[in-house]
Amino acid sequence: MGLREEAALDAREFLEDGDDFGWPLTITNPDSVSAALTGYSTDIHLTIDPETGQAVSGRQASVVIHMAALTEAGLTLPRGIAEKDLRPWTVETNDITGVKHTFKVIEAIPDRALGIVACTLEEFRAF
Amino acid sequence: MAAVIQKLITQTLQVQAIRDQIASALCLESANQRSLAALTQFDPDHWRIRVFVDRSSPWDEFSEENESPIVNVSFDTQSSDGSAGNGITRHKASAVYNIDCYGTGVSSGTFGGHEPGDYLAATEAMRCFGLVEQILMSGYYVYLRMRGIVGKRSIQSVTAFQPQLESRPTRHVNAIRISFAVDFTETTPEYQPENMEVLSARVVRSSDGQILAAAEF
Repeated sequence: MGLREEAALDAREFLEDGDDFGWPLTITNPDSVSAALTGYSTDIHLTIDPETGQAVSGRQASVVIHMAALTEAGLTLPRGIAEKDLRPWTVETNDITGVKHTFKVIEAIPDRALGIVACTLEEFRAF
Repeated sequence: MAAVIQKLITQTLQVQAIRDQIASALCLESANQRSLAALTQFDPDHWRIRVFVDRSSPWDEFSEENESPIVNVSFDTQSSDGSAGNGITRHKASAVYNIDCYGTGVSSGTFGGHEPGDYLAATEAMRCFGLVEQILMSGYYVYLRMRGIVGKRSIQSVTAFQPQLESRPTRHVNAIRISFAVDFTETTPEYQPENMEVLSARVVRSSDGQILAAAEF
């Protein structure tokens, strides 16, 4: 096994280790097919633009999951969907206090060397 | 040199009063519009705006419980016309106020798809701007209901902007800034003149009606 394949396996191990920073989340595709996965999750509220020092509206949320986990769950890579007549990719996850939050995937950024995909999220209200 | 202004300065500057008057007008007219809408088939909330003065980050007021558009009125710049006014108790000035109209949007699922949050935010900001512009440029507000103080009001420019970090926030906020120019008269503490010289004059009328005057210095 080459180093690149080892690195990809290590990345999946880090992402999905619940005793480490791995966090449970549920991802759903536009066809309403869901998969319960484990990955990294962030949801922070920034209020200062570091470049200008100006106050800005800056809550940002994201998840990072392994592409192999998506494939095994029968899902393709998520993507941002702007069409109004399509359901978007959504991610449900709890915050540290146990409150569930639902997000829409705005953008998916895959790293095909390590086999991980980072998804930028925005608030979403389910129908 | 000793102080000569013996009257305590407590008056509010006209530039401040005008800023507050703009905010009051928007608040009152929005409430009145909702009352008028309640008598029709329209949703009164379509005319709801929340008005703030001199807030630096009013979008923090957006929450899941209250997503109605926000208007922030703040003073920007002032210039004076040195050739107008008497230089003693009043002078003519022009002020520019920034009236920022904020709208927010959260992506929401619908029956067969979803409403994108960025589109909702832009739509709400535009709706807020439309209401603010119609109110302030109405004929009723040609002097901002401060006739005698305000001489003229006009919209200098309108600019859209996004007060958010990068373009990937969880809640979209769009804003439209109205640069609102107002010409007005600013007043100052009343100057108390000093007696420089006593001058008296006695005026008499001659028998043919001619006015005669005798002065004593």
